[in-house]
Amino acid sequence: MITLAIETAALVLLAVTGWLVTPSAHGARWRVAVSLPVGVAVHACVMLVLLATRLSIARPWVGLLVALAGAAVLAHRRGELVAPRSPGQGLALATTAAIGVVTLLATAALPLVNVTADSFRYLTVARLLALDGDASGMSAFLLQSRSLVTGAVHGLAAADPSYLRALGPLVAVSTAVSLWLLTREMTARLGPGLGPWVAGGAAALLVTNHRFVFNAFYVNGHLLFAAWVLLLVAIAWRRVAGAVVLGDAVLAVLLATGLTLLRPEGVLVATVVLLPVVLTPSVAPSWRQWVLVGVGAGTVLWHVGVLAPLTLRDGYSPPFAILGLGLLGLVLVVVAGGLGIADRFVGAWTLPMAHVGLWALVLVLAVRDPAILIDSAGATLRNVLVDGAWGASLLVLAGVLVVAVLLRRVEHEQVWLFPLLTFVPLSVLLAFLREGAYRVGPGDSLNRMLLHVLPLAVLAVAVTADGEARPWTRRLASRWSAGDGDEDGGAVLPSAQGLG
Amino acid sequence: MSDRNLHAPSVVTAVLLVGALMNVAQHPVIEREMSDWYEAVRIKPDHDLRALSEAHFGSTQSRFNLYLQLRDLAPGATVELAPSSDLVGEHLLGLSEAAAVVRRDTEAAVDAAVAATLAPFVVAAGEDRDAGAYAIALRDGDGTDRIVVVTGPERTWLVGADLLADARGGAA
Repeated sequence: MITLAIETAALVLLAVTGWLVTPSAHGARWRVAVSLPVGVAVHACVMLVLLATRLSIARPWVGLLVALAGAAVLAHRRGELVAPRSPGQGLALATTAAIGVVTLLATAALPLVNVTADSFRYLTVARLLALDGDASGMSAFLLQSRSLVTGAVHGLAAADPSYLRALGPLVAVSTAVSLWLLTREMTARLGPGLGPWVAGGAAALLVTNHRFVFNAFYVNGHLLFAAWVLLLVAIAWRRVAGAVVLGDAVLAVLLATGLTLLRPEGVLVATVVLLPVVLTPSVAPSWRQWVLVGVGAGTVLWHVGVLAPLTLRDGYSPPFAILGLGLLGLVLVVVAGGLGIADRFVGAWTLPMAHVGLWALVLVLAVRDPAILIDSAGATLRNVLVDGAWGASLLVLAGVLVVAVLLRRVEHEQVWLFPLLTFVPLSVLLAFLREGAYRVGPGDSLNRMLLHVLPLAVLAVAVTADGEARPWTRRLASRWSAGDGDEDGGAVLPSAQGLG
Repeated sequence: MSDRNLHAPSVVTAVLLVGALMNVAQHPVIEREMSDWYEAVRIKPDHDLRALSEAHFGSTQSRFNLYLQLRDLAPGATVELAPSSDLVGEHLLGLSEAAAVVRRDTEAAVDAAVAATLAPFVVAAGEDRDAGAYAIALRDGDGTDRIVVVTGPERTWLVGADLLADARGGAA
């Protein structure tokens, strides 16, 4: 009972923290839906700062209380400490409370949660943070490979050792509802007749995916990663679409830094997700600079301020995985300073070139060590088709996505298509960076990482419902129409003759 | 929207819902496949994680429990991590992760001690430079291979007196 009470308190305070940090501009339902994942991000960022102080005060509960206080200050500055009355607010809160209670009770009573060997490594970080309040009890290798977020948030559990049983399922609900709301917002032109069906279909496709369900009850950080990527894309899309919301830059920094603290490759993914909005000159430069500086500073603090000293303590020099990513954080800060100059060179070709650049880098590395690429490609193909526990879901989704994107164009689609399309070369690049190919099996890194972009892929398909035909399909359609007209008139085009 | 585009929402919705139905239909098949995935274990809410790790995760239980246990070990306590010599190499990384909890800086001490005292009984020795820690597997008096953490705070070996006595007895 005490365990349940403490878990309830932890999850409620995380959600309140996230609710306070999230601007109310996008409606009460959105604010409530994203509150828990956002709260976990705020908690993680506070834990980073506490760890960097080396005062042995980085205990998860200390971090949560500091996060809550900071969130209250932020909300007060925005004038939203007291919730403004908005339509649907009462219903959203009541629904959330009901889902929360049911989830807490269900996970406290039923054997629903899955663990693997990796789960125990995360829980080791959790326990050591709870006991020590710093990283003194961990090897640099453990903290670098397992990162901070999963351990920090499960460290809020009371028992020795334990975990937050309801966290995964609630993040899953949050992700599905966020996808539903975002799809509704992005396909608003469809109106109340078709819009809910498209959004509902998107949410249904996500929650029925076996890997999504598994990860909802798995002690790991993959689902949280997927949720944060989706939320970051939502912020980027709204900014690129012209929405100006006080406080969304803070939220973007917290989520992107959260990704950095959740998995070793997090900052690379965060950079890729933010690139489309950062390279949009119509978005206020100050907003983009603030986001770049924030994410860069967080990255430097984690890699150079926390991990690098730990490696030195352990008696070896910080590896490239630490210094290189710390350097990337520094680059983000420098780019923020020169954004005005960079804007002059930004054009429609910039993102495609970045994509090509990634593939070129992969190609260079593949020439040096082709075995990693070949083995990774073979294993991933087997995982997607047979051995990764995805069933046929990924294959079908990928096929539908390709057809949908080829046929229909959606305004500002680069915001979600760029992270989606670069996921492939980025994943291969990670295999080279870790100097090991991906393997066959559900537990393979890349097979698990595929979940990170699953909601984004579903979103990309769903929003084509409100898109427009691509020019080439229009040209094709007009050629067909012209051909029909000619036949009616008696004249036949040469190509039609050939077909006949 | 043009007339042609009016069909798109219906088509997309249909595709999404059919995909969802297909996902649901595949669950039993994937569940059967998953049962072969030995790594994943569904646990009860009140499960003792330490006991669980011992039961299901051979290598991990060593790391997980030791991380927590070593914090409170007095210098000189015995730590037995894995009872089988064929696990020695595989577990050195895990051992050194555990050893990292209680600090290192023992290179000279390890070298000297291994050479002087433990060398006759060493089955395998390993160092994890990443964690800056050392682990050594010994064969004790009854011929059982054991892995012991040999580094600790203030250059104290975490090799128990009992084990050393056993080892010496075995050699004699």
